[in-house]
Amino acid sequence: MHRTLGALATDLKLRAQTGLELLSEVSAQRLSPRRVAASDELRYVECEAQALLERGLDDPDEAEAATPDYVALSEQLAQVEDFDLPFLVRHSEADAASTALCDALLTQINWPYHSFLVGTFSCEYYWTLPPRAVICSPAGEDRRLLGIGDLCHELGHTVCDRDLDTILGSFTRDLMGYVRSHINSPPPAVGSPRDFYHELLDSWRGWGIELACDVVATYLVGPAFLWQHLRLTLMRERLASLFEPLSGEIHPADDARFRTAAAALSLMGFEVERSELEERWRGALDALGHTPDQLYTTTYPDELVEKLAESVVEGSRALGLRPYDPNAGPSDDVAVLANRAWEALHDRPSEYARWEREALAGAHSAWSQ
Amino acid sequence: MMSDIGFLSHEYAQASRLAENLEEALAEAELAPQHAISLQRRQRLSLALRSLVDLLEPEQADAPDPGSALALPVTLVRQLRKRQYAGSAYSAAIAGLADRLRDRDAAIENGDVALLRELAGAAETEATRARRRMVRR
Repeated sequence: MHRTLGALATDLKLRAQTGLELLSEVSAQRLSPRRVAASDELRYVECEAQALLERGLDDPDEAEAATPDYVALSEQLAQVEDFDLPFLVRHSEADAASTALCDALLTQINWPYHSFLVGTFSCEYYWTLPPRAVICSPAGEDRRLLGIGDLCHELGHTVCDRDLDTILGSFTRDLMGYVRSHINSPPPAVGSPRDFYHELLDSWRGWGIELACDVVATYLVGPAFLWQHLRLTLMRERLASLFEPLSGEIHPADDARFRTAAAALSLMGFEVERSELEERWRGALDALGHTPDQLYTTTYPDELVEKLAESVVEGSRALGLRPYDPNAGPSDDVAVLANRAWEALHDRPSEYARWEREALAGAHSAWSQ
Repeated sequence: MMSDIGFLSHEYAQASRLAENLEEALAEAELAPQHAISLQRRQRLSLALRSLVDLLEPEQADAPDPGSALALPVTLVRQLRKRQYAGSAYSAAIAGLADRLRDRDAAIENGDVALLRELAGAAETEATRARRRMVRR
């Protein structure tokens, strides 16, 4: 191992140096603070790798003692390689446009946390890594408005990361109370009630994060999030899980996600919009031929769906986030723009492409001032 | 394909933090005579372990503390549910340790340190799993 570790420590130092070279070619002024932060981290790894090499790794005992340090440094370097370099080194005009939209949104909603660098090169739909302050969207999202709801879902992950207790505190108490009061009821599936409700508790604790992000998104952009959820479900129908219980999975059933977001919409006073969306959602379910079974309805009871929506809406208010208000702002208000986009698509589909292009151009012009 | 990174990052952070807290307690316990741990750490650890028991045995949870429960990684609870400790349910062993930690006069035995070590290892394993799933998609 000692010879290997010496070689790997050399490689570690070279990897850090390669990253520094790549970052030295990043010239955009707007990226400067992030470039400096990533460079500092790489320089630290470079110095520590050199220190490792100077520890005399030819000695097997020393090499063994140094191995955990190598692993920790390598992990730290991988964070920069995986989540900083691609966003900085390949930063494009499309990324700059999406980052500008995100910045405008954050200002408008009274965002209390850090801003994000948005990349438009994801092959896994939207994703975020809150500790690295990055969001990645599929290509082309910089030119579209319909997916803004999903951008807001990713913001929800940072809210959960920073203030989970405020967002899900009361729900967790309700969830445990629910499990305790139902644990002797016969479950719809084979197996003991105890096993079923233990699994339900674990699953809901995991789903709670994703559902909380959906509710945060609904809180921020209102109906536009549910329209986008319907769009996403249908455009990836083969992958959709409308009524599958999905126990143990990270993402809950798509219908449960819709119901939770719809409950949040009601809490915000958008009953008319909720009715319309529910009608469209049911129409989609009918068209696809999906129907819920008893296992689904027991796994996703209305009581938990509503309690979660209440907890997250209250938590969002407590954090001072601005709820969606159709009359809130000028035409460059991102949340208003997202909802107008859906209205324009429904009302004048043949004119939508031109409308979207012009609306985005006008908004970018306002955001850059 | 929806990405799981947001959730996995959250699990990774929680499992790492828990492993770190347990490791710190272990380091203190292993150095001190009779495994004496500071009162503040005993209380903090007792609260976290009590919440772990509440999640493992929700039917027994009288007044769960949602704040502490939220700080515990979901995957760790799932794993511990499948395990046994010294022939009994894991939750019983953790409940005993939580009670002893809460009682400032109760001695911390070698068996308690061993359990803490196993828990720290389990939390570390879950942190590693979450990290692996984040970067090796």
